[in-house]
Amino acid sequence: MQEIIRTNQLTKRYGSQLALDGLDFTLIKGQVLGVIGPNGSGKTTLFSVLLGLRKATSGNFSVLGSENPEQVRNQTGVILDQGNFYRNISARNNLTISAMTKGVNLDRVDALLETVGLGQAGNKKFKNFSYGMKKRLEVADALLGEPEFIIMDEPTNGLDPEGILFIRDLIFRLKEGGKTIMLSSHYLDEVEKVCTDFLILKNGKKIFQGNKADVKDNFESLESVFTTKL
Amino acid sequence: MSLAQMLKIELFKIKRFDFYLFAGLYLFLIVAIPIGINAVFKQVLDGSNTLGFMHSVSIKLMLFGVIVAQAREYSNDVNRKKILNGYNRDDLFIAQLIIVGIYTLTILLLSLLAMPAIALALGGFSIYAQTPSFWILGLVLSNLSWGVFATFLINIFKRPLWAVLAFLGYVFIEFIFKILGQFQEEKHGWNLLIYFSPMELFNRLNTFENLTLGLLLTIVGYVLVFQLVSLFILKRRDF
Repeated sequence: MQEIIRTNQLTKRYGSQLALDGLDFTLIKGQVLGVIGPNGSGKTTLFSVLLGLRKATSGNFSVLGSENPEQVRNQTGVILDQGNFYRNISARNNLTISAMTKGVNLDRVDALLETVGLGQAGNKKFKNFSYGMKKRLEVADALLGEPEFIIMDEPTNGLDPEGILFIRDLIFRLKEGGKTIMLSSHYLDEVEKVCTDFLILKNGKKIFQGNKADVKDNFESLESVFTTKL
Repeated sequence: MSLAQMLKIELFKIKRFDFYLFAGLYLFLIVAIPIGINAVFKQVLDGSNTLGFMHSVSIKLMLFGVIVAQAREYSNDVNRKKILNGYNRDDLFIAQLIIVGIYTLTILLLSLLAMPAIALALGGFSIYAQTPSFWILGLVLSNLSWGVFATFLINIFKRPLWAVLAFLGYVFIEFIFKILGQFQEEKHGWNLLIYFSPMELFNRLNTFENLTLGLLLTIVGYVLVFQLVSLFILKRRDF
């Protein structure tokens, strides 16, 4: 079983505040891991550290076998909250810049815009996009390099039912394609539908990690794990 | 990322309204104002006045143009996206230098384009007879230094408004020093501070006037400090 992520006593401190507290966990190839926890539990900080956006205070980790996330960028896709694109540039040009950065064939830009349902909105400036459209563009950007491993931070947050179905369908398709996914969400029922494994955090600490069977054997539902453990 | 890849990306991004405004405004000001003064006031400007004006306009537009261009990378956390897509922190620094290079090259090309036009309008190329040696080199070095300073400001303040306000604050302090200096002998106290201020020295690069080796080394020192602080910030900042 190939390890996609391994953390060892991973700790991140912001001044006196401990955001990650000696976190140990592994993510295996093909898993869809749902990271859940209340606000401030360390989910976004964990993603930021794993992506190399923030430096860990202590401990270590590896992503796709590398201790330096910068070395595995082209195998990693990221879907963040709203997409950090140039506001005054069109969706197509924003995606073109990403493709040039990743060294991806520019033909993929239009194909991916079609895939995420933005084919007609390619020339529209990013700042004029609705929340759902921004999220779809972020998905297109994440898939540009055909990554092995995808991180999704609150992928369905603020989306309408159509948007939620789109993301759910996307996760199923990626899973069928053998991709490994790590996502965070506050919607427990949604996480339960799409994830194979779960990691529950509280105050930066791991309080539960297991798969669907572990949840079924020991608890009534994911919600009851959440309420019992927190 | 390779340098060629980064250059290609920056050239792709440059095709924007604010860049066209920067280039168009520069060309308009350096051509229209000397010709306008000549036509309205019947006062023929000589070559060094015209080129001095060109330099003065270029550095101001350079400062604001580069601040706007570099600030765009900080808006909406674009730098975060760049890191996620494959830039490392050194690449962010190099990309900033490329932007400064592109703006400086634009200033140079537009100046070279404007010089014959101005000469033809003001009575021939003889107006440039008194032009200081290495004027073109001076224009390039001066603008590069100002571009580095603008980049330094935006790396510290991230937002264009704050960077511009910090610059205006600096100009105000320099103005106060100049007033205080009027009550002193030339090479003492406040006058000496003004004499060694980075902006004053960067401007002198234009004509290399009274630039000793020591002062040149001071300028190199300032540029290095601005660059190293920028690099340090980019390496340490959480995105």
